[in-house]
Amino acid sequence: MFQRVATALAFSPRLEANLCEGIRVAQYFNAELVLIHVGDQDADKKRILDGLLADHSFPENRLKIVWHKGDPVKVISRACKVHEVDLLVAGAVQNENLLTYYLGSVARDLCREAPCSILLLVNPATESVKFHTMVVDGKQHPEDKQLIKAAMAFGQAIGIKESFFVEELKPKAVKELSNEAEEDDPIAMENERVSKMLDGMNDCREMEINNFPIFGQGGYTISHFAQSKRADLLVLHAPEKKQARLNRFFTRGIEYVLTDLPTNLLLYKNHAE
Amino acid sequence: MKIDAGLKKDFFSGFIVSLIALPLGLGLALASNVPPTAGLIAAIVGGVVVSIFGGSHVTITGPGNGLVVVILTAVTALGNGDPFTGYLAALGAIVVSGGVMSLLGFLKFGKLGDIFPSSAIQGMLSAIGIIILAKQAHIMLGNLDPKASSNAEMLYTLPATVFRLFSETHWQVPALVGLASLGIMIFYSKIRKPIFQLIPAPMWVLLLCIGFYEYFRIFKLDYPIQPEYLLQLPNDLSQALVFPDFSRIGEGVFWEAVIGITLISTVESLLSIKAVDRLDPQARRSNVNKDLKALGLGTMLSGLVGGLPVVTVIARSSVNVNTGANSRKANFFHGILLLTLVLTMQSVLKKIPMPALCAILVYTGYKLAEPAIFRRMWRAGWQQFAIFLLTIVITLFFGLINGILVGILATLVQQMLKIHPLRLFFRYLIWPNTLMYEESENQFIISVKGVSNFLNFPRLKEKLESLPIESRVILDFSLTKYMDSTVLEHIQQFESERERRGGELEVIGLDDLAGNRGKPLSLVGSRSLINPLNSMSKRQAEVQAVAEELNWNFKVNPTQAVHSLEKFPYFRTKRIEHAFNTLLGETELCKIKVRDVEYFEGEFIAKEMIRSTMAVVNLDQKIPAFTIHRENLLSRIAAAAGFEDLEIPDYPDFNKRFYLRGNSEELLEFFDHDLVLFLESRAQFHIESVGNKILVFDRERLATVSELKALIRFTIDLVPLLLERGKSNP
Repeated sequence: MFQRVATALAFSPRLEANLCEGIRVAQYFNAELVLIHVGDQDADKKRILDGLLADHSFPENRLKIVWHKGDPVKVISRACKVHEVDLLVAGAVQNENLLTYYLGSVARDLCREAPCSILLLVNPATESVKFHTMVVDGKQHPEDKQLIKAAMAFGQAIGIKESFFVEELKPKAVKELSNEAEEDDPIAMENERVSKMLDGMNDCREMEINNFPIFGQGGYTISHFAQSKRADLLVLHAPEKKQARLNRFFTRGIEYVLTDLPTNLLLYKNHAE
Repeated sequence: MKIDAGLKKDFFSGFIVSLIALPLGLGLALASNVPPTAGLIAAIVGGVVVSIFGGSHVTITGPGNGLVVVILTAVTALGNGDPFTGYLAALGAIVVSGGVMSLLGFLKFGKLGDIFPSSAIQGMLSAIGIIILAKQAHIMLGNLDPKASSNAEMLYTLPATVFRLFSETHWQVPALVGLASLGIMIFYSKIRKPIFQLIPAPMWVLLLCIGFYEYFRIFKLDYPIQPEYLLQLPNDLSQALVFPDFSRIGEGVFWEAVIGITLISTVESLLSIKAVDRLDPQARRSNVNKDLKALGLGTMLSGLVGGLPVVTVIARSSVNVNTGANSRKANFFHGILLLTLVLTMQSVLKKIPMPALCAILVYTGYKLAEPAIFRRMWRAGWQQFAIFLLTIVITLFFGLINGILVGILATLVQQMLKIHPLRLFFRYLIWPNTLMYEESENQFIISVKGVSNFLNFPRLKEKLESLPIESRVILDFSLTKYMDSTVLEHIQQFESERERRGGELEVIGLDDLAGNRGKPLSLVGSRSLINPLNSMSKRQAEVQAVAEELNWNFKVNPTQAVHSLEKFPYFRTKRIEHAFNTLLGETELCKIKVRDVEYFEGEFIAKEMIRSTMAVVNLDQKIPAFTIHRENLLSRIAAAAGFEDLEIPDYPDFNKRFYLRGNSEELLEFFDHDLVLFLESRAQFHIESVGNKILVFDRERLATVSELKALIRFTIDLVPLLLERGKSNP
């Protein structure tokens, strides 16, 4: 699924945790790992990094380290493009009240600018954390099939036990349901669309799959749902670049999730395009 | 030809209501300082127009209490000292405001009626009551010219009028009539004789006044009431039809009147429509926007021929429902029959002493501001009471619009002070905060997050109303940090409405928000742990009822002693905060404790709070340790438990549905045919045994009352089976 995983490194107290998460994700997919550091290479930093890499062994022939100066968002995006990275792993920053998470401007911009899928971890840790529940966006989208496939692959790799493939519908749909004939029922139609895509994908019987619509405002509701189900992973489509800036002022779509991050987040982007 | 039974009922209700509308229409117009016929015109036009074009079913429309104050202000402001000039100009404002109201209906603004904070609305209504009472009490006591220019002055010159009553002898007879009428209004509801109840109280007042006059006429005595105390009606009723004066339309005062009339008509109508919908025995729901359009049209037409604005009125509507009205036709009949009554009774109507009509209004005003309302607001907490009082005082001194504005502002400030961090207040002003999904067949969960207050309630309401009435709805406030009293009040109304219509609505996650049943408007605010026993939420009250049924003990307060839970594998990776809502019971075999347990999973920033309803049973003897769970609920901690899934031979169904973990040798013997069959036949619960204790629960969320009952039942049934096997399997 993901052949090359990258993680951006900053020399902060969270360096080791971020590195470990990158290594772990790369190992899940048996992928190559690209470490991107924004800034000049200097002897001290190199020594620290080498020390850490020695602690958490990763095959050297599958590892690449990139040092580059400049604007972090641009450097990381370019590095991802150049090295054909499929998945970028990044950490979120904790919010002041400890129970919600906050995305730094770099991570936020990366969500839009990165040319590949991005995994945002709310609490990067050196030790492996158990993942149990995931929530996946099943809405109609040009890449819905690919997203669901990626989510299944990712979920199985990290040992997800319970998954929810949900489609956001307007609350009105419930009302219409009683008025419309069976075949026009929007809920049933949505369900069938998603279950068709799921068909045959679940070759691993360890995972329980649920598929139903949720009702509320698009973009927001799925985040609320992930929080109420206490999901460990939320899988969404990566936002499109164009509309991004304006949405920060008029909160819409993905911004609900980024502003009030409910859990770990995988933003899927079809790399091939 | 047979007359349809429903039509007969509508006719009867319409007749009874028209008997009330006659004196009330006259009185409300007098109180507004316009010719008495203006009130009748509003009732007649309103009844006919709204019954044809409206979207509600059993409401009655006509002149309303709330409008008295606005019209009075408008007539004074526009009249420059001459009430009749003011009346004509006010009619212009009424016509324009009717247009605005229709427009609101077309723009579908009907749902805006929900976004007023309840304490401010209550304050406004009570202030209207006080203003009506203060002014009318003077006239009721014979003082036709109280010489008070403001509403507040009307109130504090009242004692002076009472004292002057002893010296001014020509006041005394009218005052006597007024006080007697007030007595009828007060004691009417206390007399339960059916014959007496057949005629509504205001009509009794009218009838007795007419009888009083006839007595003097028949015995050829001097009528002791001076002509200035009698109702002024034109000799020819067609003279009552006057046309509005739009010449002041360019002035600020005119538009001030338009805004005031539109605001109060809309709010009063929306509140009444909602209230009447709750009374409707057929549980129909009004089309609010359609009704607004019709009310606007009615107001325009009424204003064009000299009538007051047309609004939906709660008191007359409830009489309508109580007398068996069935459809909008009752409102139609009320209008037509009122017209007939006026035309036939016009000569006797002129003999009615005004103090008698004022007594009816004094009583109406009193009902809007009676001590019970103050007590209710006081119980809602001092902050809500303060907002309520503030709204009353500002309304009395600075008018209705300022009153309601200050009430809303005060509510906003109070909430902004309460919500931490403040940006949540602003975020949920704009952000959505609700999620809805079907948890299981026909059972919907609506989860509300962050801040739930009067400003964003329409979004929650939209979801609540979108669900089919026969479905089960669970309203989950566990993720809510702040909820205000307006939302709580609305939710309680939804709860009883759904119950009445055969649906179900259960609210969870509110117990520690200090909401409660005894204080329906309780200040909810931020979460606090200590919840005094005398303030239980609805769920707690229902759980207590369950406890009483079972003869069990129920304790609301949180307890720290939850060590017993920590032994269970489920809690190995969790930290228990406390337990609350404890049910304590005993069967012949064991002691059972059912609690809402609050615990954390993860630590520090990954910390998540979970609340679940769990049953713990203390056993006298040891049974094997095991864990049974529904697929997946527990695999999170599977690694820690160190056991593998256990398959019981010959029971493939059981193995598929349940994950059993524990010492295989012991358990294969323990889980015999009967126990497996029992588990297979019942709803699936999570069950853990640590030898002398077992833990049973359903989902990782608080149970609704019915789920709680199911949990208790299951646990009681399970224990004997376990103990039996424990004996044969030492």
